[in-house]
Amino acid sequence: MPTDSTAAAPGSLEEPEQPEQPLLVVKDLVKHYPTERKGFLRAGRGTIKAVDGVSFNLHPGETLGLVGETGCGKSTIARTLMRLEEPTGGAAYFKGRDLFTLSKAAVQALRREIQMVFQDPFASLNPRMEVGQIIAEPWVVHPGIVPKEEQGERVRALLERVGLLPTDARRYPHEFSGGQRQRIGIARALALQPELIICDEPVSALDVSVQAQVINLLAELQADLGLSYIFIAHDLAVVRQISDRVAVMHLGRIVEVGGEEEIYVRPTHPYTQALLSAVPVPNPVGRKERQRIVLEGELPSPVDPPSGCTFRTRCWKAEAVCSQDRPQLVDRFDHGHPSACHFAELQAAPAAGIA
Amino acid sequence: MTASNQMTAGDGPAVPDPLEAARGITARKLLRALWRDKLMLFPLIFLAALFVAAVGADFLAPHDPLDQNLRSRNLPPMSMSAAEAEGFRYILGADPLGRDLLSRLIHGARVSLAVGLASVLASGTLGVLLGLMAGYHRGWLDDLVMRGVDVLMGIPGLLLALFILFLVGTGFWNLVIVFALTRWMIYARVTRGLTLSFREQPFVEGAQTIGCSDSRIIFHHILPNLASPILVLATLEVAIVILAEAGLSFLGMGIQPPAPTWGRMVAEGRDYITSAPWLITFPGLAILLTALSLNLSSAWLRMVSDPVQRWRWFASPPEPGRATDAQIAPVYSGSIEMSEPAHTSAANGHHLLEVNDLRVNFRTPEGMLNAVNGISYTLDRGQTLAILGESGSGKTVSAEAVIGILDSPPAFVTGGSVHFDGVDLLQVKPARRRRLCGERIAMIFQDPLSALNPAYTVGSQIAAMFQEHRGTSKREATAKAIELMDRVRIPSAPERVNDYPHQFSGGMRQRVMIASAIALDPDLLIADEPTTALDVTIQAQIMELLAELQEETGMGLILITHDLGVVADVADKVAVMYAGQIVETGPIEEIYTRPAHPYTKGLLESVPRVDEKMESLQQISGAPPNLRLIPSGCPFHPRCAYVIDRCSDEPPPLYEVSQERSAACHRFEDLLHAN
Ligand SMILES: Nc1ncnc2c1ncn2[C@@H]1O[C@H](COP(=O)(O)OP(=O)(O)OP(=O)(O)O)[C@@H](O)[C@H]1O
Ligand code: SF4
Ligand code: SF4
Ligand SMILES: [Mg+2]
Repeated sequence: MPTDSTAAAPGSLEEPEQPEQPLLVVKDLVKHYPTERKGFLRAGRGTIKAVDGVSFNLHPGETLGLVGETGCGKSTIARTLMRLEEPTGGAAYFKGRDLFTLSKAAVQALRREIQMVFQDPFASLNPRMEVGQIIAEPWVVHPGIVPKEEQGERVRALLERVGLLPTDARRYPHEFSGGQRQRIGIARALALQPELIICDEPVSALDVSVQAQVINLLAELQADLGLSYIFIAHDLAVVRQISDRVAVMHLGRIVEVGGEEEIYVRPTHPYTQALLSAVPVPNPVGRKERQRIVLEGELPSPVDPPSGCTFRTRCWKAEAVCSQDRPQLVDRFDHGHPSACHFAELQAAPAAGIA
Repeated sequence: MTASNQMTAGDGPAVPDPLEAARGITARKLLRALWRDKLMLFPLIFLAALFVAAVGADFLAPHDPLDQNLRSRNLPPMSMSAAEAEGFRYILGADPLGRDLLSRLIHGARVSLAVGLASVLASGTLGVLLGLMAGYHRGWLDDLVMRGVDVLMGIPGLLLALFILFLVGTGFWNLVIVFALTRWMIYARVTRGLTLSFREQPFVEGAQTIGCSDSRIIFHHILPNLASPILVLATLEVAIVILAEAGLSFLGMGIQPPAPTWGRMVAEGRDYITSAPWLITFPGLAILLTALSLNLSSAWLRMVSDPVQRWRWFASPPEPGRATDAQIAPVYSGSIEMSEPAHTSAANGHHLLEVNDLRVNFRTPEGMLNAVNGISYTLDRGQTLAILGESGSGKTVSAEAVIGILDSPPAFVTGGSVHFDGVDLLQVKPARRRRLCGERIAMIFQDPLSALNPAYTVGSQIAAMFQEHRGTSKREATAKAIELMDRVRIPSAPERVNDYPHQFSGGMRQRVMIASAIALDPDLLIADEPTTALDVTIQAQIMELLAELQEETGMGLILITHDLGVVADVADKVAVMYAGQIVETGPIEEIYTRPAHPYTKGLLESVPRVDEKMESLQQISGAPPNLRLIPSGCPFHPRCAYVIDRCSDEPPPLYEVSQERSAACHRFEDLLHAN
């Protein structure tokens, strides 16, 4: 287990140049959902292994990107960390306190320090509340942070901070475009002055030309306020742009994690290599010569994942050992970037793949 | 920092004008809007009058409702009192005991309304609370409440009410309690259903993440969203309770005599229906009008109590087509002739597809929406044209107009021509067009699940193409379907041919769509965001498949997408759309390396890239325009970094940039030199 090493010395995954204590240490997080199988003969219970043993660290002021395909468990991690969902197992230490064993009251208090920005800018704001009320609500729930008479002023300041007009406080969410609503969501997350913001696909629903505005805003806020982000997205390019470190997920597990450069320039896991080569680059020059790994087959089901390495059904390097031993997430090349593959290789070698 | 300041300037509200009307409802605005909407005025006036009558009955009633006068029995309306000395007129006549009908009616309003409102308040509070708890906490509480609802819904309400009243006796408060007990489940059921769906909404989760307690979430976040359906329900229930109370009074189980109630007045009038019809007419009319007014106002309440809907009602109604037309038309009139760049003027029939100055409008209740504003392009066999643009730029609508599957109304093709292999599709008879398009032009969609019929096996849906267009036998068609499924590389096609769409993954469904699209060897394939719903690894598979098929068949391909990467990978030519216009078009390499339009340039610079991390992203300020209020002049000018004075009033034509390129920008030359 990769977590053995983490357990021994929390932070063994961290990069050498970051000596300070991690803000968040997630250890062996597991979340299984029971499934009611449909069909009257097969009636029985299975489990969806949405998250199946995930460990990572996050340092103050850092952005950790989580990427992976549909259903690989990215959002489930966010939801369990926010305690919107109870984890099946594992621990998450935020500044030393285990998020998962805290009482309900303690969790409420902790919400001041961890906030979330949601994917769907259209459904994530209450349509019956004015924008000002939405942004000020955290102060009503947590009295004593901002006195009532200062709230209006603060709301206007926050609106300006995220690039909206102070007068927008009196409007309703439906009067705003998707990008503007996402700004409102960010303003609400900032209201409690959190240290960590979990962004779950914050730009996926936005238009291309608006996406950059929100990414830049998030980066700017991080620089000014020293925030830490967990940034979840399926778009590898977006994740690269905003992340300091990146964890690639496949079917409930992290298969490779490391600095942004490490993952994007020197990927060692075949899945990461395939993902990167599948992303079309917006540059038509030389496209004929470009090598590309096109995976055969489909994403396996999380209800019934393959034995051993869960990627083996689509992996062009798979051998017998891959179906027997689950590869551990360990640093095989001393690059400070662990990868969970028996045959991890520094060279992308797409020519060897199924081109 | 500077970037975000600049952004603010461009970021207006998404839908500016009509909304101002709904902000801060003043009594004056309310009255003005009511005056416009006369249908609403009458029921509201009636209800207001009823309310006044009920409250002020003691002063308004001309006579004591209980005062009997046997000499005035069954007097017709407008008769004078028999007791000359009183000089008193029975405006609506008198009842069998000689009591004044009008006074009884007015006092009856008080009883009816009081019973109606009190009962609805009681049953509504009970039902809504139970529904909220059941829907929010689920589990055993939900089971219990829903069991109660089922049982009560199974028993006829009036019977149950009669039974309870029989046990506890009649009287105002007993009536209210009986109605609360027999009507709460109406609210509980609706409330629970809505609560269940709202508690899954991200905004409720958002409330959880800022630390709201359960009760705050229920009462501050969920309840306000239920307010308008519940209010509507309650209004309808007032009418039902008033009718039910009338029914109970009619059966002698309502408010006890001598207190006047509408129900008992109807009951008493029944015996004199021929000799004194007014006895039953007036109370009957009162009941009917009240019920009707309540029903009408409930629809109105639904609208004004919802901030999303409200502005529609407060804003002036849209002027019919013409006015909007006149507003928008001059903006584009300049570009009509000029929007045809020199190189597309080839003779008809030269190209596989030649679209010229195509225009599509939507006539919506909120006014005219200009979805496609004069676009032109050409496509040859074996060529791939990418139509690139953001959401709402008109990509889909223009493609649907080409193959003629727009729903009309609301969509209307208002101009232009679409020549397919020399035939103008917009001019030919619908039957011919259907045949032409059905066989030779195929389209695949972003969401394959909604495009496939869930009730039929995928095999039969592919086979149907042969059966319908070629008259192939079912057997043979199925064999061909299997062949096609093989060709789009669906593994073990012979076994899967009898599976239903939901049994396939997203990527496999898209393969099924492609299989049925290429079944008849079309000359032109239009793919509308074929991979947007798919993961990148699956996207790569599908794009590769499309490229292979095109190589094999030599069909023309129109690829609609917002993904600049996909375009760069496969397109020969690209047309960039903005606000229903093509702003730049030409060969892919030239446009990507030397964009001539600020929007194209902005897009290219603002997309994050997987092959390099940028210091920070360039950004385009503002948001795409509302198509009902397209900016004057160049539609991009409020967001443009190159904007000059003339841009805001002079719409740029599609300037010819080079042999095969054009761009709709006054400053295209500056841009070319800047690159
Ligand atoms: N049935 C309809 N009634 C009214 N307006 C419509 C209707 N269908 C489309 N529109 C409008 O027409 C405009 C163009 O829509 P279209 O679907 O072509 O955009 P698109 O470029 O394909 O966008 P996307 O990338 O979101 O698919 C949009 O503003 C849309 O709201
Ligand atoms: S462990 Fe085997 S199957 Fe898994 S990624 Fe590595 S080579 Fe492929
Ligand atoms: S015409 Fe003017 S506003 Fe429009 S794109 Fe060109 S420079 Fe910008
Ligand atoms: Mg579309």
